Parts: sequence; C-alpha cells; structure tokens
Amino acid sequence: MKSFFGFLFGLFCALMIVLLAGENPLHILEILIRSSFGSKYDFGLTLFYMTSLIFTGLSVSTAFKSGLFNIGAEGQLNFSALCMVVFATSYPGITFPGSLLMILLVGILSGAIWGAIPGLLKAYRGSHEVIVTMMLNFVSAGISSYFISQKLQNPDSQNPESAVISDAFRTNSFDFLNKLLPESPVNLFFIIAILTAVGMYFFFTKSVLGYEMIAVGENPSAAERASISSKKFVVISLVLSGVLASGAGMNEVIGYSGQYKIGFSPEFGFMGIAVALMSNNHPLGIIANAFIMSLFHKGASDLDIETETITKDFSKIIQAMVLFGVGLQYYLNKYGVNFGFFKKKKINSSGNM
Amino acid sequence: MEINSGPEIEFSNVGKRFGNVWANRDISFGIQRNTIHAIIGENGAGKSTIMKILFGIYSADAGLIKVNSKEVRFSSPIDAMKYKIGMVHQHFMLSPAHTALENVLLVDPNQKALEPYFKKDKIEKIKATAKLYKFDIPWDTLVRDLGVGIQQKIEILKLLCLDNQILIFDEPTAVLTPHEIDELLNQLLELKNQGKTVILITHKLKEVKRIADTITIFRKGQMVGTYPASELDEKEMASRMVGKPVSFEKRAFEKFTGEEELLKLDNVQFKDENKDFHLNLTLHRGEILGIAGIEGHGQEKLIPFILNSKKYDYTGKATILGKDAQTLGAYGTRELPIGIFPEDRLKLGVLPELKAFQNFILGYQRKSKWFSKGALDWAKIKTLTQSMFDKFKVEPNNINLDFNAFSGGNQQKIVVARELFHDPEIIIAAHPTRGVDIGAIELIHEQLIQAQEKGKGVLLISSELDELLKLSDRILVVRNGKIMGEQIRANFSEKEIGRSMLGVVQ
Repeated sequence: MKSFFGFLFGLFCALMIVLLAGENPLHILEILIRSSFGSKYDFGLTLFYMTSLIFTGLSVSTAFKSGLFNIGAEGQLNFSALCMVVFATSYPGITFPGSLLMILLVGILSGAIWGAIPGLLKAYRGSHEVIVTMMLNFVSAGISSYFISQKLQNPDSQNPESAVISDAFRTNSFDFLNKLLPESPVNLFFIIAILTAVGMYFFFTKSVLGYEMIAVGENPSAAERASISSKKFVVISLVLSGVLASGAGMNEVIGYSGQYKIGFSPEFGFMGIAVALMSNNHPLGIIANAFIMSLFHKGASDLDIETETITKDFSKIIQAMVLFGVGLQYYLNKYGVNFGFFKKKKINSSGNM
Repeated sequence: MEINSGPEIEFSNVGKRFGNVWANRDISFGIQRNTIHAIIGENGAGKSTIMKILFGIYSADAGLIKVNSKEVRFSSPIDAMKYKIGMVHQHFMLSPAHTALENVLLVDPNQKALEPYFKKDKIEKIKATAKLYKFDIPWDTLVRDLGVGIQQKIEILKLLCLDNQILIFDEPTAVLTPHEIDELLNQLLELKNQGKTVILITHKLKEVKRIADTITIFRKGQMVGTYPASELDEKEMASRMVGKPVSFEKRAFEKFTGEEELLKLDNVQFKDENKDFHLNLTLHRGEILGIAGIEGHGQEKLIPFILNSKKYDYTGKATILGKDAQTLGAYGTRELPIGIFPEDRLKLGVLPELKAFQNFILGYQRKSKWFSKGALDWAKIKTLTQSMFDKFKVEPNNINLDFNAFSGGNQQKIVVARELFHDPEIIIAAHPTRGVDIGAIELIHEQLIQAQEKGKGVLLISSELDELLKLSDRILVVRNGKIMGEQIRANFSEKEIGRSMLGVVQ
C-alpha cells in the first residue's frame, strides 16, 4: 500500500513518455486496463503470470535476505520444469494421487538441486553465487534443448516442445480456480503461490531459522559469534531459493500446459529480481508487486498489437518507469519525505541578508 | 606574522541544526594563538560538530566565526585550508598502498597531474619538517604495514607540510596505546613550542589535564563554559560534562577467596594467522581478571577461542565452567552461561540495520523463553527488551529504532543489557567502554563490579590501562599471543605493566 503513490507517479511518467511517441496516454491506459482485466481470459492470463512472478520473486528475495544474489531463478524453474516432464514421461504408469505427489516431489527436489550447486560451491569453495547461478541458467537451458530436441520431442507438433504428460500428473481435473476463469491458464498454483508468500512471511518473522537466515545476511561475522554457521545458511538459503523458483515451473507444467515448451518462461526469473527489489524483499509486498509486473507484462503484448508506435520494446520503458516510481517511493519511505534541502537554502539566504 | 591581541579564532552565537535538532546552539568562545585548547564533552555533546563547522565540513545555521578578527564562512575544507586550518580526523585519510613518504608527497595542492611527484627538494623539505617537530618515521614502509601511532604521525606531518597554523585533532588518542598516547601528547606540546595552535577534541580528562592551556566544556549541544586548565581538576571537569557530580572513587576491594575456577586455560598452545599462541590463565569465581596488551597482540583471540575451541587445533587443556572444551559441540560454549561484550560491537555483536528488539535475542535466539507455541513471540521479546532499556537507561528509550540510530554509548548499553540479561556466570568484556561516553562508562563499570560482587567471574580485556587498574583484581599481560606477566592488585604498577606490554625486559 505504501508504494501506491510511487506506482501512480511512475505510471504518470510512463504515460507522459507515451505522449512523446505521439500516442494518447488515455488510450494507452485503456488498452492496459482492457488487456489485464478486459475478459475472464485476459484476467486469468494476468493471474497466471502473477503466479510465476510470486514464486520467482520469493526465490530471489529469500536469497537476498541472507545476503546472496540469486540470478539463477530462471535456470532453477527451467530445470525443475524439465525434470518434472522427464519424470512424468518416464513413468507414465503411476496412478493418481501418488503420481501428483511424486511429480511435486521431483519438482521440489530438482529446484533444490539447482539451488544447492551454487550454495555448496559458495560455502565450501568460495565461488561467487552470481557467476555460478548465471552459468547454471545456460546449463539448464542447454540441457532442456537437448532433451526436448533429442529425446522428448512431441511427435504431433512442429514446435520445440515435449509431449503432453498424463492427466494423473496434472491438477486440471479438479482445478476449481480454472473453472472460474475458463480457458485461461490460471490454475490452483495461484492459490499455492499466495499461501507460499504468506508462509514465507511467517517463516521470516516467527521462526528461528528465518531469524538466523536474516542475521547471516545482515552481518555474517556477528552471526558466526552468535553460533549461526553462515556456511550452512548459504546452502539452506539457496536451496530454499531453488525450491521456490521451481514453483514457477510447476505452475506451467502441472497446473497449465502439462508439457515442456522451450521458452515457456518469458524470463520470469529475471522479472523476479525486479519484483523482489520493488518489494524490499517483503513476502507480502511481493504479492502486490508481482501483480503490478504481471499487469504490465500482459499489457505489453497488446500494446504492440493495438498501437502503431508502442512496440514490445517500448512497453519495456513503460514497465521501467513504473519500477522507478515504486523504487522512488521506497526511498521516500525509508528516508522520510522531507524537503530539508530547500528549507536549508531559505535559512541561508535570509541569514545572508 | 601579524601579532593580534584578540583570540585567533572566535565563535559568536554559532548554531547548527540537523532537521529539528540543534546539534550546537549559541556557541561563543575564543581560541588564543599558540595554545593547546581542549574541547571536551560526552559523545553527542556537539564538540565534533563545532569543529567540523570551523573546518568547513558543515556550514553554520546561525552566528559567525572570525579567524584573526576577520569574519569567515567556509563552505568546504578547501576554504578552511586557505586560512591554514588543518584537521586530523579520527579515521585516517591515508592510502595504505603507498609508502609513508609518498603519502606526504601526495597532499601537495600545487601538484600537477602529469608531473612526477618525487622531487628532491620537496622530499628534503618534508624530512626537514619532520626533524623540526621530532617525528621519527620509516619513510619507505607501506602505510598498511605501519602501526596506528605512526600513521597518525604521518597524518599530522601532512598538515605541517602544508604550513597549517591551526591544527584540530578529533579524538586522537582513541586508537593509541598508553605508550603512543604519551608520545603524542609530547608531540602536541612540541607543536605548541613551535608556535602552532592546537585544538584537541577529546573526552579523556587525564590527557586534557596534562597538556591543555584552556578548556571549553560542551554538554548537550551547548557550551558549559571556557576555563583556564589550571582552574579545574579532573573531577570538576567530569561533573561539568555530565551535569551532575561524578564519583571517581576506586571500588573497595575485598580480598577475594578465589577458590572455584570458572575458566582455566592450562598451557593452551595453538597457531592461528601466523601467530603462535600460548595461553595460561585461570578465572576464579568472584574476581575481575584484567587482560592488558597492545592492540593486535592477540588478546582478542581469547574470545573466539573460548567460544569455539574445537576450531583451533590446540594442545593443552581448556576447561570452561567445569567442562573440557573438547567435549563441547561446535558452538557449545554459547549454550553455557557466558556473556560476551564483543571487541567490535558493530562488526561482531549486532545486526546494525535491524531494530533494537530484534538485536536483543541475537546469540540467544534459540532460548526457549522467546517462544510460545513454537514460534518467536515478538510481543514478549519486546516487553523484555523494554524492561532492560529502562534498567540501563538507554536513550532514546525506543526499542523500535534501528540499532544504527543509537549513539555509541547507547549501542554498547544495549549489548551489555543483552549479555547480562541471562545472568551469566562468566562475563568476557572486551573493550567494554571503547567509544562510550562518561555516563555510560560509569554504568558499565558498575555492572561489572556488581557481577563480581554476586560471585561471577569477569574477564576484562582492555587497552585502557586506567580501566584495568580501576577494576581488576589481577592483571595479565598478553604480548605476541603469549601471556607474560601477572600482577595482583596489592602491587599494581602502571610502569611495570606498560613495560610488559612493550616486552621490555628489565
């Protein structure tokens, strides 16, 4: 709520820039709103994006809390999506509900593994997590291209995607949320994402583990003195980060399409960084900011189609302005809205007279 | 040089405010040429602020300043330097990767960017200046390899080479050993002999008494008064600084029985960071055991060693509260009733950007008293923190502020409150009063004495000899990682301890 002023200010600036491009700001605003809320389908798609962004936002923010920069959420969600599809296609005979539990477990474990690699390397070999997570993004992209093109290619499709996994591994048969917004991709994982965010909020405020994780992030040497092993928490935090990112993979594979499509994530992992920063790593703030981001992400494609000048790239500028606005609000909140700078000048000039 | 009968520097009604708070208000006093003028006051009394205004770091919001009877208004230190005013900051402004000589050469304001800076005549001039003021400096050693005492000399020499007339020192002795302090004070007297004006910001009254000609006392942003140094004794200075009488009485020492051993390091030997440690000490119930030593001689290693002995591959035997350190888990010592005031509170003791009450459980975060139904009960933690804030009179009395927002003295009070909250049997206090104002020093000392009277054991690691002499029952000296001399209260001798610290054999 606090960042609402910043959001409006950012939006205002963005619309002013649109004016420079020769478009009517109100028209753009209308397209944005229509694109996000216009129909049940549109709204469902917005919520679908939001689901993935909540997961990746939580993933990045959890690493941030313990002083780590995880830019590998993209690789983690990708790897876990791939592993789930590989698992489901390798063991098609497992029946419901065990199948669902097992695929969830595979998703969580694969995310954990992809987070544990940089965690262990950082803790015991001193490798920088930014480099390792970034490299693992490429590795996971490479692995998935290999599997999809060589092993799992869907015979009924020209697109680089796997075959659709059996319904026993998916939630669509009992997905009541999807029934509310039919044909849109939104699914049960939206609710799970919100619950996860709330869960993370309680984790950081109410549990010792969360407290210790924050302590490591704030001051590793003091944490060490307080008998908190920072090495241990580097690993824990990146594993947790990987698990949270895998939620975005589940949203796609288990919740929606049931297959792995190359490029299914429009860089949710990187947008998660923006979401985490905009929310100052507050799990509940992430819900709100994931919504804002998804709204603009959804709007961007329609702006491209419906206007002459606002291309997909241009709409990135609009997103960036809103991001700046929210960031501005954060600083105003932190340092207090004071105009001491101007006041000081006044005193000086009167003093000189 | 023009001879002036009036003061060299004159403040009249100077004020400075930050936001709505006046850091300085109605400050009016003069500083005479060729004197040592001490400015004293507790932390946060505004003594540094007024000097930063003089040096152009801050600009005054009210009043005026005259230098040599001419009104000045500095907007940056460069302006102040034009009036031959120089300042030695608490944190040195030296380049650690250059030699001592290079550091002095580098400050020449007339140096052109593409001109070589090694010039014979300049070097000779620097060395002559050093000789004049009796500085002994290893010119070709990198600054990073030099001790703080020498670094400070280089810093002073930089100002002298710029021909500064007025030298401001901001808490110059905070980082020095007793021996170095002695040397510095002599140096300051030498500067005065050579005709310079020295302004000394400090809260160490002994030093003030020894060298100052005039004293200006600050309290809560305002001036208490300016006095000739001969008029005030230490006790009087302290009372005027704090605004109420201060007791300097040494505590009454009862003969301690010293039977039960709380902590015993028996021939403990290990190697760490290329230093050999050899530790022998016994802390008894009901005593304050002082550990003296020059900074960097390994006395602080005692804390991490006691906390996590297993990490060090040691020989000998360490017994903590009757338990062999080898039988304790990796962080097992933390579960024993031991309170620790860390040697560097911001770096090792707290989470500076979290709130005060969140800091209150650090180190004890797994104690069951914080929990209800398996979750951290912040309401309860807040109540307990508040009770300790009241007991220790922490200012501002607001547990919801970030730890960073408190002044040094109050930060230390919070740490002390936290460590004493669990009623520890052993208290390890490292530099408990470093960077702490008089009011807080008194409170912390009282707490240590109370603990001792209750039969706890206190290990007091300090580089302030006065503090050790005031509180300890016995004093051990650490030099190069080894425990050297032992002195018992009955025959404490400052000289003797100083000698052991320096390793001078009689």
